[in-house]
Amino acid sequence: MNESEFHFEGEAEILSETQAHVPTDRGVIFMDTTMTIDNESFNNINDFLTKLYGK
Amino acid sequence: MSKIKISELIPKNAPLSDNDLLMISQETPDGFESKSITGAEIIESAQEGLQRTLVSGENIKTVNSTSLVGSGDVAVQPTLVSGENIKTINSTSLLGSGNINVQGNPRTFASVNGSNLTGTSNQISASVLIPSGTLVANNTIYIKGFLNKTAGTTTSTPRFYINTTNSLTGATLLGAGQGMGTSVFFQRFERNIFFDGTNLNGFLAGTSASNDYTSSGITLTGFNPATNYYLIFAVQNSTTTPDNLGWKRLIVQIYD
Repeated sequence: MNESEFHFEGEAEILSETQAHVPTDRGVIFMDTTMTIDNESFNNINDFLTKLYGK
Repeated sequence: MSKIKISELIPKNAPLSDNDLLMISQETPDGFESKSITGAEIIESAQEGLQRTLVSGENIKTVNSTSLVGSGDVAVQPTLVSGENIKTINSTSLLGSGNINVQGNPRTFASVNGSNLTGTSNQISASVLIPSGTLVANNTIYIKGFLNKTAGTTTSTPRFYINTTNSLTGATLLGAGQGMGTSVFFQRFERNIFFDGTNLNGFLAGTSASNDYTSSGITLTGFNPATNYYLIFAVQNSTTTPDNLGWKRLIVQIYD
């Protein structure tokens, strides 16, 4: 497995409009909307998580 | 006074004394001039350039009040050589000037006071850097501290994370304390985290608890001891104000 590769495990826990806990095989990772996905920025954590989980 | 040859003079048969008087003749332009010279002048002249008799404590120092005059060795401390005739402390030489900070087991690694923060987002109240090379296999990180808030009635949540930067973004959750609502304004917090050489072994991260005195599932978090890490202590309040949770006097120790 690539060192930078994570596997999602379970549902994310939304902490605030811009923050969430994302369970992975390497633990629960704190993510927020300062992060981008494929250079795409997000205004709220719901849109971020939708993109993250590929829904 | 009858004339007598010098070779016929009666020997003194005694050492030269200060009062002895010897006759000498010095050549002058007109012939010779007779003069006298005392024994004291001869003795003084003979002693010029010679070392004076050594008298301990007067013209030669003593070593630890021991006279250097005489024969044999004077007992003195040999030159100190670290690790040979003087021990080291944790492989650190005792020689030289300055202070050596002696660490025990456990050693207190950090003692920090966090900020009380308002706001509903998850925010950093305090953080502690664990420099690369600090942890080795079979070490245990011991964290103790407390949380307080001075206002508010809604729930405030304390959490702590680990990250390679001093930022919550991308940080891995290590645990959470009890949520603090209504009149709960104080909470003592305590955790032990064992490093097995590959992972940090801790109380189940998803279980909110003040301490790890009881049993739980285990949370394994990858840890590379050759990398800098930050322990990040965060707080989140349910309402914007006046709730103001903060981590206070966090003490981080490492057990060998």
